[in-house]
Amino acid sequence: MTGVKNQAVSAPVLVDVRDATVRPDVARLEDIYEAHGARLWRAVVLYAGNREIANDAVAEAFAQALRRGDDLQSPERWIWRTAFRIAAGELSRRKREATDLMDAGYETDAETTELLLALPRLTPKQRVAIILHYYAGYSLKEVAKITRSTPSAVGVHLYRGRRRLRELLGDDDA
Amino acid sequence: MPDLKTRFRGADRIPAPHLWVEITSREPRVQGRETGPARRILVVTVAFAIGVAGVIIAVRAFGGREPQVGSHPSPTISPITAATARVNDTINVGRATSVAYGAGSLWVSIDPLDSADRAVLRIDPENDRILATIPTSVVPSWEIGGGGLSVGDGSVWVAGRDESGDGALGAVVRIDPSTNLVVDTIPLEGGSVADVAANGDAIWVLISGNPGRPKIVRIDPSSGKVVAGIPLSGGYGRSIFATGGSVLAALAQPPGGPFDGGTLVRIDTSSNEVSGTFDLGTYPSVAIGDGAIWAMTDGGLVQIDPATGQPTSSPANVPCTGDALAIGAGGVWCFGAAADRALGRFNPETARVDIAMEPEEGTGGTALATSPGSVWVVRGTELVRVDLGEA
Repeated sequence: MTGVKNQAVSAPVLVDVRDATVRPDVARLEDIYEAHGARLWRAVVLYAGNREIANDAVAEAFAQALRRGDDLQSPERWIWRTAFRIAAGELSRRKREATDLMDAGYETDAETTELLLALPRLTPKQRVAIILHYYAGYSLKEVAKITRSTPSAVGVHLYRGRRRLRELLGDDDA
Repeated sequence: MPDLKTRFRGADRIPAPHLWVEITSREPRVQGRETGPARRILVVTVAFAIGVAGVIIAVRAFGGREPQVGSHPSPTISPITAATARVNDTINVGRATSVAYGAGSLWVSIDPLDSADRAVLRIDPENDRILATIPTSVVPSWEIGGGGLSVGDGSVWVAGRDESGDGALGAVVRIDPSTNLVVDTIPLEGGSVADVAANGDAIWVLISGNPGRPKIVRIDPSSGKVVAGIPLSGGYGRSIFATGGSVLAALAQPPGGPFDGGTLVRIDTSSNEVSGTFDLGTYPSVAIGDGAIWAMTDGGLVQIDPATGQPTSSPANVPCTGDALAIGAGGVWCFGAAADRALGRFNPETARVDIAMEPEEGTGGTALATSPGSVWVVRGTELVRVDLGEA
């Protein structure tokens, strides 16, 4: 880690093999989109119960990440957090305006449909913790980093959310 | 009955759209401004007009012409006649999260992928040499805007989460600039620490708080003990400042999210109670330097009177992103709202944006600090030095 004199800014290095005009930071985010985009979108659908909100939240989160290029240290975590934040904002706006939230027609089995109907009855914090942990597969520590919370608080939300889902779904081991 | 993971696996059958083309062609909204799909048509309709107007305003503002300023704030920033700025050096520092200037040095927090390699770097602004690499288990983890690193009361203060133990508790670390050693680590129960400021009388720590529960903790510098806790109303704590007997904290709002607003609260240090609140109207971006505090509001940049926590002037319509601010080196520095986010300086003496970096110089970044005659930009794994010069 030594000082490098006068290595000011040069043009972006074009190294992506898919398209010679793709900047490295764009290629990196495209890789993240390919790895996480569908899962993130479904997670936001589970959270918001609405595909339109998920479309906007996911697209906007990635677009804001693109704007920041290489500046983001942990773009994956940042995008997950931002998408949920945008979805939460839209949810509260629609609730204020009494707009119908749930859209129907998901092609899922009965058990998943039950889950989709039960999730909105959790508090937002419980819902986010449950979705990030049980659907997205993040550890308590990672969920805490995404939600700017602590692992212990996330653990409490998971415990209470699980207990509430057990009541709603009639599961023994929910 | 299926378990939760089995139930959630069924969600994988919900067909997800492929949004990449939309993402790459989309103009992202300004941070802190959420507009929903229902308003999209209206937004799109006016976006073109606003865009054209925005370009004109940006060119005017970052072109050195006069922005719209209601009344002229009393300048407290040391006047500098320099009218040009250029990138003079780029230092490879690693994954930097924050930068601060004090005790004659630049201090940069580094948060590598391996948290065992966390450190604070001390850099000599005279020659850009790294004078010391100070290992610390606590570094700020803000992605954008810096913070969690300050110099005050003869020490360097670092705020963040200590992940060296099992509990991953919030903590504040004190570094002695005379030895470049961590001389104290103060663990704080109850979550991550957003920022820290010291003013001789006390160490003021802003606890980010689980969403909806930010608070300030006052610590006795002689004993390292918590002497007061001040609960705050907000989403989470973002930054704290101690100057001239005043303590101000910036909070993201509203308490339940989505944190697209912000407030600046002033603490009465004699009673340890909130004595005033100023609504910023946008996500908090506040900075201190040369004894002055400036903040982004939804109307533009305002100078804040530390004694009241209220603005001293009407907002100056400067096109900043709100990602980061720095005060010093002759003005208020911010990243421009255009796509390149090039660095610019608002000069309170003239009420003008009198320095605008060229886009190709790549001065957009995530955190900012000033030293006499220079501005420092955290950009990914690099620290970019911008030097002022005569016109």
